[in-house]
Amino acid sequence: MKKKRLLFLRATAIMVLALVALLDVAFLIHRDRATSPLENRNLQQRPAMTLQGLLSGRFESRFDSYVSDQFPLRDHWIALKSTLDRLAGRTESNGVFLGRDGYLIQDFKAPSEADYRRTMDALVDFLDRHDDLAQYVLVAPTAVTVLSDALPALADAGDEVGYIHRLAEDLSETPATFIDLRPAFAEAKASTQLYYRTDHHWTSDGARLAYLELARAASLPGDTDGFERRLLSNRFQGTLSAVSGFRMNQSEDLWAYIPGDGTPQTVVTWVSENRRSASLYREESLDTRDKYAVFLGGNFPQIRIETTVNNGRALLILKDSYANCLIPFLTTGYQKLVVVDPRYFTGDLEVLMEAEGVNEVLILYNAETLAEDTALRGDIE
Amino acid sequence: MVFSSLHFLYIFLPMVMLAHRFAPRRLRNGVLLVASIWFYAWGEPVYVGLMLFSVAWNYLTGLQLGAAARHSRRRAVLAGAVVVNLAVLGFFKYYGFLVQTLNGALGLRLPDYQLPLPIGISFYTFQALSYVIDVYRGTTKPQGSLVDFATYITMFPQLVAGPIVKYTDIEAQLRKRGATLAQVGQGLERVILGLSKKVLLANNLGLLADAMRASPKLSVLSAWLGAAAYALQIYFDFSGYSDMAIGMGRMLGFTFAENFDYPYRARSVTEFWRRWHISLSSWFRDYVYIPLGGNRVGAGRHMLNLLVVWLLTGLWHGASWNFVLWGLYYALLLILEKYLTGGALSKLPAGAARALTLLLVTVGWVIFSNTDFAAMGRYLGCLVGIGSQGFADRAFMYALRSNALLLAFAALCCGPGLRQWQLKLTGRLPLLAVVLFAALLVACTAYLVHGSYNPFLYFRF
Repeated sequence: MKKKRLLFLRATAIMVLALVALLDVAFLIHRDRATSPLENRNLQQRPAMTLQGLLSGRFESRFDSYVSDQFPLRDHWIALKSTLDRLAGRTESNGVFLGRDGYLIQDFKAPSEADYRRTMDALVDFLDRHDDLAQYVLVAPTAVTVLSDALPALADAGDEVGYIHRLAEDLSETPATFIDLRPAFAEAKASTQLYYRTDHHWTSDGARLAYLELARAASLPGDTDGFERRLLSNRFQGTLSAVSGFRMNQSEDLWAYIPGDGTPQTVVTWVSENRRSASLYREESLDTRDKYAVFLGGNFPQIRIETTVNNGRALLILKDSYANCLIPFLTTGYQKLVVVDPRYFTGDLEVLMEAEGVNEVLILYNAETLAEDTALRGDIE
Repeated sequence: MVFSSLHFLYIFLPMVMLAHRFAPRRLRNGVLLVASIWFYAWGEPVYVGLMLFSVAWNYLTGLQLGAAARHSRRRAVLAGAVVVNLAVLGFFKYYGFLVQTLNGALGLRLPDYQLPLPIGISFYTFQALSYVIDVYRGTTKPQGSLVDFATYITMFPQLVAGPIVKYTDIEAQLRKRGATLAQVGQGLERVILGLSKKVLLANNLGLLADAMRASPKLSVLSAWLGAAAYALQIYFDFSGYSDMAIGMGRMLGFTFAENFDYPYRARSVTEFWRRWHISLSSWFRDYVYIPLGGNRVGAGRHMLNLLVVWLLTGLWHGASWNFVLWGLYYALLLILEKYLTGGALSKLPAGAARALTLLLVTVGWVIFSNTDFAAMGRYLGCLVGIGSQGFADRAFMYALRSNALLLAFAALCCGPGLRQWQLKLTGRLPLLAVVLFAALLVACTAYLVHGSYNPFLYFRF
């Protein structure tokens, strides 16, 4: 026993020495990475040692970050940690639940009462002020509501259903039509994948279903037969896996509905970027990690879409990124779409509406973003 | 620098160990001293001067005590050293607290400089005090070498979080020491165990405790779960650090005394304090409690002695009123055990006595962890159902489910069983045990790398 204990002690010393030497040599010879696509941020580079930096402590804190940021096999260590967390029974990380069937599900965070009231007051005021326009409010439930069966057992998720109920109730006094997707989504979820497994967005199929609900309320073409359902990537890794660290090696399919021959022609203008294109898609995004940006190229302050539909209908869309994969369907029913993302838009909305001759309004958010948002009320007040 | 960082574990520590190992014997203390100053200065260089002042002052005091023959002269030198040490500690640690209290109570406007607390000052001041008092008492001879003395005070393994190493314990090793490969292995075994306690147990328990504390509405069971998680967190955090210190000391050729002895197995509060942060409680025993007369005095005086020692122990942990209250809480419990409940307690079955002690200690940590008295009151209220959100709720069930394995394993690690099993394993299947320790080190590394994981920007959009 004593001899074996001695063997253990010596072998432990050699094991640690070897492990440390291996990692240190790797650290010395590998080339520092400038950015982390996984985290979407710049990584700390080797700081220069100056006397001033040393005395102020700035050099030291940068050096510590440098060692962590450039640690060999960094992304693998991070994946390992998440795996260990899972093995320990952890089912939530950074506000993301590890759901069943491969689903990662973002928790819902209810807004404070004051925030809710301010946004609601601004909305009611805006809708009342523009009661001459046709108005639609579509607040999409997220996976936490629709796929609540897939949440881990006992998960204490935020009350998104209550939030959507309250919105619908408070908006019933206004001239707007509130489009409640929950019945349609509840019915379709068994046969259709409505949300990505690794991302917080709805799929193009979810967006298509939402369009059909909207189409009924807004008298738009009631089918999407002119579109071709096409696989754009089978290597989509969404933001929820990056944020939570769960299932970081899992990738999934990203489908889109591409307008076919029977659909109207479009001219898309990214106003502040001064860019114009006939396509609603930006295929370069498929080569990056952020593949969802293939829809409309991502989020921009203001996009104008003109179509060959000659019906005089001009729609203002106040939206978040959920709208990006639904907007292609709207090109079949409108002559003009004015797409505004209030988080980036800094102009005067009233002036814009006047100038573009808008005669309908659609407010399209997912419940999670709307609950957190403080930009929308700023633009419509 | 902190032990639980990649920089410390993979760069600083290996470099220092190699330099120490291969330096000529007479330069070893010099190597250790330079490394310790570099360690201390990393990130906050301003207070190095203060620490070096403390080293120089106490070194000279030791020499003076050695040279002075007259009793009155020796007393005066000692008194001078005690006053200077306590004045420095008092100013940097307690001045702000004192001024705020006085300004609040008396409506004064004394200036508050808002100085950051020098790291480790409570530890190295106590080490220095133990040295000068021991020299005064004649327990040890003064150290003639400034480098050796400075090495003792500043030694990086125990500099910032203890244990408080007594000079007499390592005096011989300061002169002559060495470590065989097996002793280095023994040190690393301890370092890996300590690191795992800190990184795998304490940090994750801390997340649970923080989540419960941050929750706006707590059920009774959630409050207890949070309190239990905190009690476990502080134990594994602190004893993990002590383990690492003892292990690194071993690798350098030092033997530090043990600092924890399975405190949550104690059957009374008195026993708890013989098992928790042993180097601190024995410091107070040797340098405050016994000089005051200890328990060899009348009951009234004994209670006063306990009160004084525990007020000071409370304040040593932090400059805030909740630590004073925490100290008084223990003074009261110890007096009760000594004069009232001790007999009854010793008749209880071991399990019941342990449970009762654990309960009292856990409530103590609630006082300890809340510097804000209103928050402390709310939390204590929730524990007994006052102002709580029901008895059990979904948040409790989910937290329990998510952390069941962690809590069970942490509870297991509170007793000696697992460590005994591990020692048996290393003696029977040594190579399997090495794999196990490699796995622990790899797991800790993964958690440390993840500590800098900071994904964002495009998440919400």
